[in-house]
Amino acid sequence: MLTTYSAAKLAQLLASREVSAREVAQAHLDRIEALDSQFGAFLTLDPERTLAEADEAQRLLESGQAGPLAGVPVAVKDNISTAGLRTTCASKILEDYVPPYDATTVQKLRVAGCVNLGKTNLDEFAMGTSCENSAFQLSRNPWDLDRSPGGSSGGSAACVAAELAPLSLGSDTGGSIRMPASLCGIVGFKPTYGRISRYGLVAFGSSLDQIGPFGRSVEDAALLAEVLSGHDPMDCTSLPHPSISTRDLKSGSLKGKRFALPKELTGDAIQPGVQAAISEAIRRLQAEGATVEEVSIPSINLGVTTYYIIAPSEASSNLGRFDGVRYGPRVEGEGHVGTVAATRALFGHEVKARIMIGTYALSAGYYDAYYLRAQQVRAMMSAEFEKVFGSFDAVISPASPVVAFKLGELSQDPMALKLLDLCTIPANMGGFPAISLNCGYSEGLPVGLQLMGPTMGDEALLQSAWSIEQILGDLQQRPPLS
Amino acid sequence: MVSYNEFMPITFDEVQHVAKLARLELSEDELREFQGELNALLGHFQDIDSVDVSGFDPKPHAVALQNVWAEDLSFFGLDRDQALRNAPKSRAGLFVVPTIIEE
Repeated sequence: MLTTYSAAKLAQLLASREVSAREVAQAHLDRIEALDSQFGAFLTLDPERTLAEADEAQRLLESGQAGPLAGVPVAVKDNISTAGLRTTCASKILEDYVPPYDATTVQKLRVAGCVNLGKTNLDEFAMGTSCENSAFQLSRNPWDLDRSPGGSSGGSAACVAAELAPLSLGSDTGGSIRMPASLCGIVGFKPTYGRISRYGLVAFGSSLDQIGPFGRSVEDAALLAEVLSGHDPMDCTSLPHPSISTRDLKSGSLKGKRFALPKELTGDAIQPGVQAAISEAIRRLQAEGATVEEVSIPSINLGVTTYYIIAPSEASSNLGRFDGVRYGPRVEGEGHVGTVAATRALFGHEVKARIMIGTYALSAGYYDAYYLRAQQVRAMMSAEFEKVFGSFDAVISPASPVVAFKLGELSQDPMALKLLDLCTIPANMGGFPAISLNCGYSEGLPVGLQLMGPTMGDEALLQSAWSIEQILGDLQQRPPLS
Repeated sequence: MVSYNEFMPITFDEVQHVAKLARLELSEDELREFQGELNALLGHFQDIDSVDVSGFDPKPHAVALQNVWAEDLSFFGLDRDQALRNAPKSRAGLFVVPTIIEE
């Protein structure tokens, strides 16, 4: 079945004309139609548009000018702008918003001949770790439909795990790619901050936000990262470096590789079943000649606080643009301020909560104590990691302290949900590249292993992840799909 | 400037003030709920109070770039119709904003 193939395999079949881009797109659309009512991964589908893009990709394939992923379908998180295709951020305030332009990543997909399958569910404005904050629907974990796929990029992770799409785009502000990748048993990659353009990504925490790929293998995620990355003059935080290269992806080895295991991401902070899977994976990597040493990075324990000051502060500023003037509905209230405030009442609870936190942290008298101090802790945390990167290839840890949890289980406990970002936050704080890949199971649910590398070490990190996947790949199972 | 050692739970009036600053219309129930949530979070935030951060300059960005210049060139942007297409109210090719100055 075409939908079971990896993106790399599909690309090969497309390039050799064994299948057409339309056949591949249609196979995925059929599967979405048959199964997505179970998973709730997609918010918006436009099959006609998808098939038209597939025909365009076919012309590219036949012209001989096609890139490595031409004709391969990709699902897109619904906070990434798609010209002419509704982009809601899973929010009532953007329910009918149709962007007049494409995000740079979406434009790059088109130029590469990738086919947009549709827009995926998320926590409203990417704020959450369970996908339960979507204003429109729940998404479900393909491993257990009573459980969350993680968040915020829950729809993008669920659709790849359920083989509704070979690849998808997510965004990661505090772990929103790596955490759902871990809970769904797939690969999620957050590159170095600035290597993939944020132009057209609806802003949440601008100094932390990064777009990245999901795939069912390291190779697939790396191939998509190559397509997405590269300098973009439309994003002034875009790095002036060339695209992420996959040329040497498969030429690495674990022999002599040095990984640091922070003790702050072991023990009580981690579910015992997750810890056991990580320990077993580490033992197997050591048997292949890798060195894993325990280190201490004390500031990891300050990550959640630092993040929940910085990200809401930036969000409270970024979301100021939703005032019922240029887009979204307008709810009339008393006078100008009343109308703006009544319109903004359309935000969901978690978004309002974060705007409140951020507004408070940035308000007169509190700025120094919260925002400024959090930025100093951020500098300290980055320095501690950079020191570790001086003598190790990467930091190794769980990607999520828990396996997939039941829907509703944590939704009444906002602090418990926030603590789930413990392992992933440091990479956003420092701008470091980080990847989550499956390393085993606990109670039949996937456990993700995270690698974090130094700034601009994307290629080396992907190479290590690929080598690890070769060792642990024998564990890889498919979710129990009907 | 506040110190967390003197952390005082925020009052209902303060929550109301923050909601006004944030331009969020909230019901009294919502304000009480946010008061609880904010205090829980602010209590948790105390863990960065005792950390010695002297010697660390605030880091506002993950990967710092300096002096990013763009060539002063004209290029295709949005035309007026496209820019107005998502506006809840427009007239004569312009956005209609809520009344700011009362008659």
